Amino acid sequence: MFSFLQFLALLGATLCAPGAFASPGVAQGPRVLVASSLREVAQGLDAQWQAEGGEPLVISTAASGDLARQVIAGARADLILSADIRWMLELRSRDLLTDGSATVFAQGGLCVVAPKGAAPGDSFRVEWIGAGEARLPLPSSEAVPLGRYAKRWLESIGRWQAVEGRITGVPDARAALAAVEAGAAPMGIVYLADARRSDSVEILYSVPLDQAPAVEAALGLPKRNTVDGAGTRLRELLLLPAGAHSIRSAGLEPLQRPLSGEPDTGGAAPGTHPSVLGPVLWVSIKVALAVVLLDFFPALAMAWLLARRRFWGRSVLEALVHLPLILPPTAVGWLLLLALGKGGPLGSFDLLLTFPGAVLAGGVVSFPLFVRPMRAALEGVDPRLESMARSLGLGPLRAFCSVTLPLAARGIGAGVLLGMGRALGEFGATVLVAGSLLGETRTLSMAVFEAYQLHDDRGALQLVGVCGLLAFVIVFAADRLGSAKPSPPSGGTP
Amino acid sequence: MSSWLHAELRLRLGSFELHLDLAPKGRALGIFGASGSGKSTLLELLAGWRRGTGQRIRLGDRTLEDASTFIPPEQRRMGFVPQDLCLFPHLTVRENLAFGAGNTDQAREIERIAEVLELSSFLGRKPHALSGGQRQRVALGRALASGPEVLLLDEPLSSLDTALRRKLLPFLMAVRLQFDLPLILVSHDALEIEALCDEVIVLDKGRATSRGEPAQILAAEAAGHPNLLTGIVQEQTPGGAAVEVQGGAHFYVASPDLIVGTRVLFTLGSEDLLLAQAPLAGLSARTALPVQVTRVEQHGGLLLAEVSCAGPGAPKVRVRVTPGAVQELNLVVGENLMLYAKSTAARPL
Repeated sequence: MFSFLQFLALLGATLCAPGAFASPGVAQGPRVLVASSLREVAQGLDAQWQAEGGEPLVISTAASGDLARQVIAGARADLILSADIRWMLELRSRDLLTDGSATVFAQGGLCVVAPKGAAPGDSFRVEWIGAGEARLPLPSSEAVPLGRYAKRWLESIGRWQAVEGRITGVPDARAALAAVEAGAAPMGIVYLADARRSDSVEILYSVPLDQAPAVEAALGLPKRNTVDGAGTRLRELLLLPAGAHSIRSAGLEPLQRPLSGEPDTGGAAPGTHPSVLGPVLWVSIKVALAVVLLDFFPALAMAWLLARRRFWGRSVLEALVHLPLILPPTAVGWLLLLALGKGGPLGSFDLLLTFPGAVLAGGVVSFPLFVRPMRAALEGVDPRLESMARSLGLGPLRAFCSVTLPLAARGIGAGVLLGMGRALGEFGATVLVAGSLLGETRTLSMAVFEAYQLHDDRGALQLVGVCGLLAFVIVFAADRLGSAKPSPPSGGTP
Repeated sequence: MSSWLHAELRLRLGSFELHLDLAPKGRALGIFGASGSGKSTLLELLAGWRRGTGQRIRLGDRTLEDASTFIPPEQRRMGFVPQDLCLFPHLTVRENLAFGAGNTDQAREIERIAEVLELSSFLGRKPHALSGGQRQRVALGRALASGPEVLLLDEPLSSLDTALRRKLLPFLMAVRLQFDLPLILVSHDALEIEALCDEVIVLDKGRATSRGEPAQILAAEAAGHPNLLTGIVQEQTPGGAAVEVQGGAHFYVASPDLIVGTRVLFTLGSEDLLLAQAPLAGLSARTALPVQVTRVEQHGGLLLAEVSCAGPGAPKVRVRVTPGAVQELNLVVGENLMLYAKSTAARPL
């Protein structure tokens, strides 16, 4: 028989085998840092590189600003493909790139998209953007290139003022597209390259290149590399005519121009950002309290079910309840996005990128933290006391409310505090479902991320300080409630 | 036959099976049995804390349980005092008492209950600040205050030490007297049942093995089961307190703290008694009573003579004798003899 010990031995052997954690049977190739919107360029480059006999590239994808910051922080890489010229200039000015390597290699445009099948019948007019109550999903116009490009275009056609108040913050260009794809917004401004690759959106309007500043992508070779010479060869491959194919497959036009200009990473200099602490703290508290309202009774009912009832499938239910505790919040967010998106079972409620959406995401993620202490507290109350209350004439609900509830009050309070704390810190699921809209869905944790993106260390410090204080108060209070001495026994034996 | 309760209790729990029919003849039914005999389970079945398997319960003219009915505990009106009492630890004594008392009539009743059970001095305390006997009384009072039709008592005294038991038993008797409620008392303590019940069922492994009058049944069940007597303290003498039992006979009980005019329960060990054919002189025994033999019977290896004191309603007392004594004293039913007991043989409860 296959025993558990044998299983462990096999597992151990598998994990200890050489290369268990690398791609199957492959040595490591050069490392390439790639902006999210340029991923296909890197994949095409990888194919060319391997065709020459090179080891597969190790591709790391993130927002352009994040990639640049990683290099500034000392990360090694052989090639960086950035969608943000300013960050490439920043890297060059810090003398982190090999001389003369920084080159603008592609340009592309913006377009206006609508969910597939939901496009208006008439031919597109720019007045549609931001008209009515509809939200426009757009990343930060300060920190993320797409936001900046879109803002400049809208300014040039005189629509920025009308649109500004309608913007729903999303983390990056891909999220802006995803919001339209999911039907959370009727319209969006995205990279033409991204829109062309999507099956779920229709392009309403391609912004002419003369109307908008060209969206440019630049490459550079970091001085701290991993494989000597690899960066130079990769750069050659991309700039050769053969590389143009990779660039076009990403929906961009090839271009070749030395990088010029001075670094201007937007308002990234510390201390120049207006404090968002007030609205962010207010939104966080509102979300946390609304999550308590949303979760309290379902969590109490679930805790009671798990503590007091024995039924078929109980352990399965228990595992399901605890799932959000273990599942990555982004996975929960993605599932919620499916459920709440256009065509999803809850799509008709129109909750994406709204405050109720943020509450729902927070509520799902913090549910197990509500349930656990409540359940322990209910299990700590002798069910015979409830039976006694009933023998004294109280119905089941009144018996529960006048005996079990007060006796379990501390544990239930601890559950509320822990769940509320989890809701306050929630990021992954909320940002996918509700975005990061200042004054509506941008909570402390999202503001911290935003401050990081903007390189606003002072703002981040302020936010982190407030988070720390809140967290300490909550954990301390929950601990005091949870560790309270249990009520003395009620029995008759002295 | 009319009885206040008709119950066919049925429960199967793994290998344990309870199968018991109840139709009490008197007002107070005792269930006697060792632990594990199903006594506590039986009360929980009656109170509706557990569901039986195909059982029927009728209380008065109400059907509480049958194939199609299950009246929930809150509508059964059973004043249940379980062995663990189940006092609400977060409530004061007053709040515990008032818990099941909905209307104002019962609020007035609480005053009376607190008085009878002498709870008034600690109404503001919580259960953890009470002694064991006080807790027992609170649980009993709470059950009474809910206006029950029946009292269900699970070992109300046996968890207490002798001193406490002596204090509490009069309360239980007062409850029987003043509230006049039908009562089911479950206990492994024969004295408790004999003191409070007028019928007993002996339960073993979920089934009744015998039923009948407590003194008789329990003498057969519990080897060395003492006589239990009750009476009013008449006077304190140097030789003990004189206690008058029904019929006028005086028993002497060696206990200086008994108060004249109060009711007292006391035991007389059957092996501590003497029978004589003629009055004796110069004896240290204080109690000397004319008695008549009513029965002689063998219980296991024991030979017991049951004698009756003189007077209407006078109690019967069992005396342990040897086969030789039976012959010498001519112990036959109807024979008149003298009963002697030292005052130290009578132990107040």
